[in-house]
Amino acid sequence: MKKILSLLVISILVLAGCSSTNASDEKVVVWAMGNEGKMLSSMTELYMEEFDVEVEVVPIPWSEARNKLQTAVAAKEGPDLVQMPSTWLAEFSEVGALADLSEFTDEFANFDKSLYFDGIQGTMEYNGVFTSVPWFADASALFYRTDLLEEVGYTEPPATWDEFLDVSQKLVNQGVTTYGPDFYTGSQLLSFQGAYTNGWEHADAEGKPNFLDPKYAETLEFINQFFVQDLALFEDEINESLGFSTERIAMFFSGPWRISILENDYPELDGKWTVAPLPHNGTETAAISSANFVIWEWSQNKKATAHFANWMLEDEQQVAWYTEASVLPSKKTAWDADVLQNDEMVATFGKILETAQMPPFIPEWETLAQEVIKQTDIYFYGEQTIDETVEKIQLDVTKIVE
Amino acid sequence: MKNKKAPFLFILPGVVLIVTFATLPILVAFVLGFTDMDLSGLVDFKLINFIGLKNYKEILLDEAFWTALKNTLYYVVVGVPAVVVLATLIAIAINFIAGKSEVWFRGIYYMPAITNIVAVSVVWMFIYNREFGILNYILGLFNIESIGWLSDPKFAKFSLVVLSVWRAIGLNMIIMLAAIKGIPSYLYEAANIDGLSMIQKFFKITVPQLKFAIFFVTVTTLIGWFRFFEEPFVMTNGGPLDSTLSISLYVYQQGFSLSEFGYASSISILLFIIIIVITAIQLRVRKKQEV
Repeated sequence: MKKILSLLVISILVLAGCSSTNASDEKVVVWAMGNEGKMLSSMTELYMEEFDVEVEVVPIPWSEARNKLQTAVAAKEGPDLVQMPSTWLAEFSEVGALADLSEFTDEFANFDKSLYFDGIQGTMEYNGVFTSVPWFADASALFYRTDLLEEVGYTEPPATWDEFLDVSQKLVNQGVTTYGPDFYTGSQLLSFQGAYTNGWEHADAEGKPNFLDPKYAETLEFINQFFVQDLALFEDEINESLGFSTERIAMFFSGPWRISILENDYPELDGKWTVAPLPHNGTETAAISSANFVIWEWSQNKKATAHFANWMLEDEQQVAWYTEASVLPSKKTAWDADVLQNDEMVATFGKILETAQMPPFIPEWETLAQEVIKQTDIYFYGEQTIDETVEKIQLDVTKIVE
Repeated sequence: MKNKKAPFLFILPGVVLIVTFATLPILVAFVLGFTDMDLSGLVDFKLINFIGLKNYKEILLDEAFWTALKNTLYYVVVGVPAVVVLATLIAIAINFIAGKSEVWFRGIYYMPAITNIVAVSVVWMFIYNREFGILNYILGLFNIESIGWLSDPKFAKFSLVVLSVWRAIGLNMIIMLAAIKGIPSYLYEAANIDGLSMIQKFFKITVPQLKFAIFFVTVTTLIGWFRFFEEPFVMTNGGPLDSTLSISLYVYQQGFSLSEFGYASSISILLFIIIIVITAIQLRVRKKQEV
């Protein structure tokens, strides 16, 4: 019996041993998510040619990203450099998974707050610790079909909420399209960015959740009337690009990555669409988010990692990465490049970034955002009133934050 | 007597695998269920606090949990009979076909079971799509207004059940088919001599002979549906309005999306208990029938 037990113990040890292989010290392992993961190796090859340091890119699908990061936290090892969305930074900073970068600020010029857009500077620090640098920025713009809007008399994009509603009504009533805009109600930022354009602040004077502010309720009501009047579907079913090309919708909100998708997959739409700032109700502020570089606390190779990150953040690489992956440079100076200035659509995004504002930067963001989506969904489905909705959100979010 | 060790050695690899990948995790989950473990607990075990039954008390007040439980019961009540009946009928039908075409049909019906869920989901998303889907296109031919198969809370659950039944039939059909082939032919020969009709033969010979196979398929299918996860995960993520949220998916969301490992563990332990109890009841009933 003893033999059997010892055999059992040995086999467990063998199984456990399999998981703890570690990368050599000389290699920088980069975890890049989604689309970026697929394309980043084109940049790392350039870097390796220049510096003779091995950089390995591990592409991670978004659906597994959180899972992998949690596992890496538990194992206290894994990557050296991670691409992390700004909305997760606070959470992972708080548990101490992100290395303090302040020791690198003297050596590497791009680890400097003031170089980046105002809206995302706040992502770089959490609780006074410098834990990340923005790699690229993201914000939503209004994508619209210029030809269809022209048919109903709009030669300029709708700039205000009133115009946005008016153009939608005209499009639908005159039978130009089935629906006016499309709202992606599963988006974490939908109600936030809508409310920002209405002059809403997500925190009140004392820093408490501010969902009882009438400006937030107004925003939800404004969106909801599109559903009530059959000007938009409240489901996420329309594949936006497809709906755009088949003239089911004439407008939708999306990030810069959509430009290249529309250009490549729908060449027949060429010249029939462009982007504009979000329609506003007094305040031209969008919601900004970013993807940041963080160095994993348990990296054995922090300096080489910082060197690579710094190189990626040089203006030249920022612009090259824009050309490669159609994401927006996070660094203000990178925007002086001609490719960015001469492209009208990208320049529009650049303007949006200048004034855009960051959603709450707190560790509980993920829980908060899910709660907001859930409650606003119930409202959009007509299962609760607007007053009940905002009260519920305020109550639950207050509980979450505390 | 000397060789008493041999049988243990034979089952050792299996036991090791089960202990490491099934028993240990369950024990860990059981312990975690009494803690408030979250992401910070992963970094430093000292930050994990034992909080007694607090998680379980919270679950009882958690609306989403009760919704998930109700949905899961719906999946079980609708899905299990559908899978068992359809798998049996298709197996019988295939058994009637002799020769090469039988192999073909077996293959066709088994195909969904071995196709990757992600690939399946892409195809079914298009079938179910409200604007561009073939289902609504067909309805449109009869002037029926299009239905949000996955976006209307009234239909979404049912749509997922249909998809899942379609996926589950293949494997169970093979099991039933094997059982049918195992029915001794002299029983039918005797019945022919006695002059039984087709229907009589079906109910007096086929069904009773298949009892064990049906029992097996029912138990495994039941457990499978209690753990219903993949379909809502890839198709709807529990929405719209939590109408497709299953308990397993809720565990996943709490654990991996929100990093509430302690809370998620306690829900999974509840699910574990539910499945154990129901399987035990089934085994009991089965034993009584045999006596």
